[in-house]
Amino acid sequence: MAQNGQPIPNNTSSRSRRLGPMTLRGALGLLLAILVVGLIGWTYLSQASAMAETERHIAELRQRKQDLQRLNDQLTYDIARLASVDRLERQARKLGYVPVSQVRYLIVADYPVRDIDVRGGTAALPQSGPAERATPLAVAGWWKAIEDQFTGWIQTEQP
Amino acid sequence: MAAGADTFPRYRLMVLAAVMVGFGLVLTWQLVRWQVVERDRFVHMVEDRPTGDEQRSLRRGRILDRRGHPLALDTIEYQITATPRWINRPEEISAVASRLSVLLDLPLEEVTAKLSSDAPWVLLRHRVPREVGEELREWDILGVQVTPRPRRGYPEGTLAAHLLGFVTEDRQGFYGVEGYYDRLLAFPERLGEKDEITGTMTSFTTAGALPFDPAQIAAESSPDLVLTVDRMIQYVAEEELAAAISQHQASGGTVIVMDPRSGAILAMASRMVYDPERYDESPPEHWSDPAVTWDYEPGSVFKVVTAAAALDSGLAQPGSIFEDKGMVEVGGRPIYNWDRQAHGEVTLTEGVVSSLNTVMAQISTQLGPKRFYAYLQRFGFGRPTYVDLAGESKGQLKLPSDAEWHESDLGTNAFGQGLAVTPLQMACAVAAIANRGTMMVPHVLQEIVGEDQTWSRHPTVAQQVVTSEAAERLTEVLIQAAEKGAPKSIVPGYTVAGKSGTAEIPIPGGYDPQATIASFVGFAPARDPRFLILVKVDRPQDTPWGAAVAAPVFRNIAQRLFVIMDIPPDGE
Repeated sequence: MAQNGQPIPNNTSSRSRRLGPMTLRGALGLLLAILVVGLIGWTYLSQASAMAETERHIAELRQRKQDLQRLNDQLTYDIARLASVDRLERQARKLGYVPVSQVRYLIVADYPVRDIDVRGGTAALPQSGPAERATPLAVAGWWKAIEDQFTGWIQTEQP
Repeated sequence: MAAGADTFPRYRLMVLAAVMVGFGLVLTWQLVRWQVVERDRFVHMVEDRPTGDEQRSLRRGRILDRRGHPLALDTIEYQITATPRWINRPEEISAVASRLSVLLDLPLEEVTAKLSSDAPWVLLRHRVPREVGEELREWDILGVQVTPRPRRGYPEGTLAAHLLGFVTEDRQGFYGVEGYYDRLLAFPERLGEKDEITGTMTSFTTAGALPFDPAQIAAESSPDLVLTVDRMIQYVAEEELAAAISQHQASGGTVIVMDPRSGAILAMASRMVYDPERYDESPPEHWSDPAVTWDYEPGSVFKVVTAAAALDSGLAQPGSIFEDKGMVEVGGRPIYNWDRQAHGEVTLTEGVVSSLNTVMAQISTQLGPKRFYAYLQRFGFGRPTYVDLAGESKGQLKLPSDAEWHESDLGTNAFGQGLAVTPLQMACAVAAIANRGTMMVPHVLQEIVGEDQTWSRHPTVAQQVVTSEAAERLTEVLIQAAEKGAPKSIVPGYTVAGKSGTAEIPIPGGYDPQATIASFVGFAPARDPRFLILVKVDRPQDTPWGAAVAAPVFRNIAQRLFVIMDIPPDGE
């Protein structure tokens, strides 16, 4: 080729020029394609991997919760066994306790407190049973009556 | 050649680029397809696949008494299996087998044979107690697996066994509460049975029983059930029943304690009892609850119903006079009093107090079959009470429209013969009198406790069976019946209303001449009842009478209930 008087580099350069822009474009395109595909793949894989990791963690937590729940049930069962009526009675008898056969009720008039009828201003005896007498309502009524008396006293004109 | 040399790399590059671009496009399309186009399909796939919740659902809801004490809950047992190929050296097999045989209580040869087998997996023990399983877990033997399995535990032992029922190894509930509320207690593991569940729930709600919407409960996972039963009252009932059975050498018996104002069952005890944790060690005939499943001829306690019909219909008043000639014939069949005596002119009250069959037969015949059986049906006989317990029987009540009904049944039914009732039916009928004529639906469920929500059940009225005036008049009659007819039922300081009964036991061709069922049903304090107790003792050996056998059991239980329930005296 040198004998034809044409320098080899020129020839090479000419080929490079012809191939050069295409190689560059091709290489860039290829790089871009690889980058895009790689990016998409990486995004997808990292997402899937994160999901799998989270799922595994959730499954572990569920398993742990289940184990704890089972342990809790077991302890509840053990406590309930130890506190069963039959066992409690045996223990109580061992300690010398005996069953109550007869309860003597002491009837106390107006016990525990007189319910105060706030609106009427008169005292009314409780009509309900003993369990219902000392209700929060009765206490609230009593407090309200004192409050009303105090308000009335404040608002009374002084001589 | 030069042109070929020039184009070859370009061609190769283009091919390579095309392949990669094509690959990228396929990848991109697949991503678009999975993330966008077919997103829903994959979401469903993820939702439907096993997530570990299946194991969680194996946990069955707890059953608690009204004060929150556990009556039934899951506990652990272990299954022991082995993988023989992991234990392959003879000296290793020998060492492991000798350790396991002692701990698992198995013959050494059996364990050695199993560990030496070619099977990929062998079962050593199906169920071992928790202590054994935990010890084995600590040993951590390679090739031996220790798998926890839920087991239903009943911490109170045999207490309320019939009422609670039991759970089999495959986690299926049978009898009692476990059977009735099986799908609710074990709901999530049976999601596939959704339609069936909804159907069952619908039938429950049709009976006016459950306080929730099936769709609502579907979201819950194994909720806990709080019962109306009080373990202390249950214990008292069982203790007194057992004592009576032992004292009278009876074959069995039943006690029901209920709140007549709400229909809430406070206790329900029966003998013979079984251990629900070892149900398979008892004969199957012990499993069903005699209080709701077994029917019997009630005998004289049924006179309460006949007297109620007389008072409500206006046929008679407590003081109305009846002529007792010692015998009355109904449908060609002679009916005698229990003492075979004629008492002359007696009032209705005296007829109930002295338990005169002839007076009751006169009432039923005067009412006529139509009205008399209408009252019986109103009181709930011949149909289930719709209590929320599995296996309820509806009893046996022949109606005039039935082919097997005979006119004489009109006379015998009036004093509790020729028909069969369950103890619960009888208790509910008398409870209606105690509750001023209003019959409530009996129930054992108080509330359902889910993870975030609680459903409370409210008392349900079955129907008004008699007027409140008639019920109050009958209560006064029953106070006298308890005081004079069954004085052993009386608790000093309290008014008790009740009626005793001594029922014959039907056998083919007649009645058993040797055996009776002694019963008593009563409530207290009579004019403001807090509880009703039915006592039934089967085949007492020493004395047959209800007033002698069952009434003292009522008194003993009532006496203790006054203390437990803090009920002050209302009488002398």
